[in-house]
Amino acid sequence: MTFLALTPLQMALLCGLTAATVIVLFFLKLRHPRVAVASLLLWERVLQDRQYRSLLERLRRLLSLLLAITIALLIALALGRPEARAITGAPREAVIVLDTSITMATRTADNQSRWNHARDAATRLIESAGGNDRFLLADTSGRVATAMTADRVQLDAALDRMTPLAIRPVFPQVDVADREVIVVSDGIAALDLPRTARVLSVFEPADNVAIVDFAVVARAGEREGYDGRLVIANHSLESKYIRLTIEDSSEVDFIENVTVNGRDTVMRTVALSGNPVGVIRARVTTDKDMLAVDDEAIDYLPPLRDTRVALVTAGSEFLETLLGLDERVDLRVISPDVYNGDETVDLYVFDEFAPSTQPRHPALLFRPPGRPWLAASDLTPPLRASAIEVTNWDETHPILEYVSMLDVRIADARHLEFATTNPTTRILASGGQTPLVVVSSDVPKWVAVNFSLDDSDFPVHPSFPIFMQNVLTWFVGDRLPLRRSVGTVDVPLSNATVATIHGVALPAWSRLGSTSFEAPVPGLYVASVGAARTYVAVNLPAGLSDVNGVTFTGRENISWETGWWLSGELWKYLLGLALVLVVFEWWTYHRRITV
Amino acid sequence: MATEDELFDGKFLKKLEYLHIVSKRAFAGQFRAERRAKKRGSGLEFADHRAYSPGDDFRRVDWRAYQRLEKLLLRLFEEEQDLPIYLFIDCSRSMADGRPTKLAYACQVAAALCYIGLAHLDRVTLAPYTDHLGRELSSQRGKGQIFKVFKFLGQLASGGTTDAKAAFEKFCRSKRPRGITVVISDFLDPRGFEAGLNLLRFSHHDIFAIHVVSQADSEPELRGDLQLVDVETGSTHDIAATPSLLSAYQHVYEEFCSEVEGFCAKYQLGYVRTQTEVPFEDVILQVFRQNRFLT
Repeated sequence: MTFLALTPLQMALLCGLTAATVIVLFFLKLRHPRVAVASLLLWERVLQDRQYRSLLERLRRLLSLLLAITIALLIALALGRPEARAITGAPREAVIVLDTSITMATRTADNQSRWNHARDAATRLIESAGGNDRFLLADTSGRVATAMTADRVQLDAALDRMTPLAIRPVFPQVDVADREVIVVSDGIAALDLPRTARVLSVFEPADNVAIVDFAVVARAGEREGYDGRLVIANHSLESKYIRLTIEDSSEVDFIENVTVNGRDTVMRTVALSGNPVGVIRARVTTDKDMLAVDDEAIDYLPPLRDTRVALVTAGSEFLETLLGLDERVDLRVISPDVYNGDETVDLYVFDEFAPSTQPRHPALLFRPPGRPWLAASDLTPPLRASAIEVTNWDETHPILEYVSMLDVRIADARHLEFATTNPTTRILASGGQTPLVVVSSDVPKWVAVNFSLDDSDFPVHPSFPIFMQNVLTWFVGDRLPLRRSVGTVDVPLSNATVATIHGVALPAWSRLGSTSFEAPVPGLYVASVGAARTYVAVNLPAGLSDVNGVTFTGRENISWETGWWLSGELWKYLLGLALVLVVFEWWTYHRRITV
Repeated sequence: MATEDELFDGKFLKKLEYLHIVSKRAFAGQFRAERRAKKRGSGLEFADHRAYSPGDDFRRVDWRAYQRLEKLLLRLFEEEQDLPIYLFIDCSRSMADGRPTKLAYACQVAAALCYIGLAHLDRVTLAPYTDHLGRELSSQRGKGQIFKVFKFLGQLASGGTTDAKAAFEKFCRSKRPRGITVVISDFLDPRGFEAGLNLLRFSHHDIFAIHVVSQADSEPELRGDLQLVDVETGSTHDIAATPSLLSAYQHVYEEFCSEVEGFCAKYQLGYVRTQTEVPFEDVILQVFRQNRFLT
């Protein structure tokens, strides 16, 4: 027998002290009231008749003491939480993984939720196990995982901490070798289950509609035109009549009713009227929607203001035309000969030119010559590269968001060696070994495009105006929001502080020039560094809330084989036995059997 | 203790005067009285005839018998003398138990018996005892002595332990005239009640045992864990007074009473058991008569 709460020495001391205390207290009886009688002659006859008749009856007088000692020792043993394989059987170990994907929050017909059923099933499983059986509880969000333990309190606490989250679920990294693995899930999330895992399914068909994608984008070339682009999914088995609402922080902008077939998806591009600004919410409603978290999506539009741009060029038809058409750009074209760096502008666009010193404002440079402030050498003749295809680009950076460079052909590019050891300087696009788009997030920022627009077909690609808009937005601060999915979110800002739209600060950490934070629920978040702010619209990723998209099935009930052994820890049985003995002692005492 | 006025009103005394203490045997008396004595004498009650012998009183010759039988026969008459009555009253501490106390009750009974004896000119001796014979009130005769008896009984107090054998030894050694010996006691003698009664029995007294019991003895009202203290010896014993224990005690007590009664029956001793809760007038007028102790 081993003890979970005390060492054997402590247990022995406790038992010894307990027994000694009981014995001392037993003999420190209260003196009985004295009653005078005429003679003890007859009383002695009675007592002689009733007592001392045999060894057994002599021992009976000690029964009360023995009972008291036994009761006290049982309680003392229970305090030590004993463990005896001979009584409770050999301990078994099992890993119980609870699926905490967002579909587990789906309400069920009994007005509970799949998560409630999963939790109850896990609790029943643990309670039906033997006292020595040990469990490791883990969820699929990677947030809660216990050690392998028999401590039911710890397991209950872990269950309390678990909750369905809108995070892409993954099977936890736990050691499942030679252990039973039980997964409690609705079978929606695509989990990489171990081969030996048994699945306890809590799936129940449910109705659900969701917005699986949402973005508010400006109509190209228009100053105040915005479109809302949505993807609406009906995860139900039957068609649904869905009411779509889009609103900004002030008023409802758009209402539309859509009928979507069961297990179908529709795309909608709706023209938003007026001048929406700030937080834009899209919402779908329908009857019997059993999962609410995916009914709303969010985006953000920064307030509009004119951007003063100085285009320093000897003549660029593409840039002059594009910037001149943009009604939000106050364009000023100057020759490189007259550039002096004192212009009253918000940013510069240099075309095949770079000043010898870094300008005071952000700068976009096309095919710049090597300059020290660009961290590129101008001492060695720059290399030239020809017939280049863009092989790598980072779409996650704000300036390349929604920018495809897949088919961009570049006839000639300047190969500058940038000092990429500086974490604020990043190569966002490259063709082979040739850096093509390089950015520096040090203030003032700069973006270097190492090829001329005249030497490539990039200006005629649809993504070129988006690229220019992204660069201008990135430079001026109030930029277009980043669109991310729930979970760990990276923001391309170094050492930024992160808060919700309501100003509640969130823990964030910096890594390689970016800042990361956990966004467990959809919503709008703000990352700030000084005056620069980046809005992050966090929505559910597509497909995460398909409440009927079963990827694996399981059994509705899994029983824990305990054999004939006692289930539960021994201390419960010891206390129960002590209680029975207390009742027995009380019964015998009041009948004066043991006294 | 109650006064004599409280004990005996006039009507009760009148009733007592009609009672006699019954003696199974005839004992030699000292004075003329109303008891039939062993010897023949000048009483009024005809007893027998005997043949005339020279020197006999001619006045006692039965001439009618001479006419029929032609023999000189003398008529003999029973001698009526007084009867020694010894009343032993147990005054040990155990007699202080009960309500009224057994001692008070014993005194009442003794007073009544005294009055009966005195009213019939018997010689009554009162002898309190514990583990020794106490100071006696000896050989009272005539109703006029009843006040001395009351006074004597009124001065009795309980105390000491019971040892009837030791007490009666002294009595038997003193060569008293044989007579009726009444022992009024609870017979809770640690050395056994038999020894004392045997001593009296061996001295050829006509013995009556009046067993005074109280409800506290027969049905003690005890409850819970108690330490019993023997009022005579001071020894103690812890008990848990449960219904079963009390029932066992009552059973033992009944056995004890039966033992005393059986002993008396075995040796033809008079035995009367009386409860202190029973009015003693009833005991005197009914119980004693039923047991043929009084007529």
